[in-house]
Amino acid sequence: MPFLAILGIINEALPLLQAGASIIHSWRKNTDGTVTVSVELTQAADVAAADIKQATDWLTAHPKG
Amino acid sequence: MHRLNRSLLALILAAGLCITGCGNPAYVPTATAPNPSTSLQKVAAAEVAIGQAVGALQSTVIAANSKGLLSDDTTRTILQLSLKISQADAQAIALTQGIVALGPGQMTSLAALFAPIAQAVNDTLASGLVPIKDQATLTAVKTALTTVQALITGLQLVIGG
Repeated sequence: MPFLAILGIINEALPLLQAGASIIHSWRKNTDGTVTVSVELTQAADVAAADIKQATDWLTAHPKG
Repeated sequence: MHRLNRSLLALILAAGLCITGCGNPAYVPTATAPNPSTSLQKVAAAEVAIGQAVGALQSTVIAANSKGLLSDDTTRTILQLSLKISQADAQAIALTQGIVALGPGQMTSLAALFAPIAQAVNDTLASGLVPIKDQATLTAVKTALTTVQALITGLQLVIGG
């Protein structure tokens, strides 16, 4: 695959990686020195909701006839 | 269509990086504190990637339908499947949001959510795409759906489903 094509694919992948960074890890230092990490899916629910709306909108506009 | 294939390839690349954790440079596990949430992080990354992959699948079939390359019936079948995947993904996100580690109960719930979805995706890939006559459209839809399948399989491996 030509080098420029690889660069193009990486360029297209970057926004997806940035969206993937919507997973935020909250840190909490415990009294025993260990660390607890929790996951906050800040945008993932929005993406799923947008997918549901897109599919529902099309299905509503194209009922089985 | 060439651009669409590039986008799908980019999506696969990004999804792979998300699953392997390379997209999370901020997290550095410590030697003294075994990370209790490794599985949770992988599941969360898969949930994000599944949402993005389903969006790409939907855009692919809706665009092909609008160009007359995909019948309403086939588009409806694939979008109904994508709707089920998105609804399962939304429920999985709600299950994993804000927790610190995956417990056995949550793993069981996630496995129950995705088992029928994985079967439906497998069935569609095996026989549901037969009506698609345009080869470029068939390749694009198959690639998009295979990406979704790979992400679901990856999630199932993490949760032992």
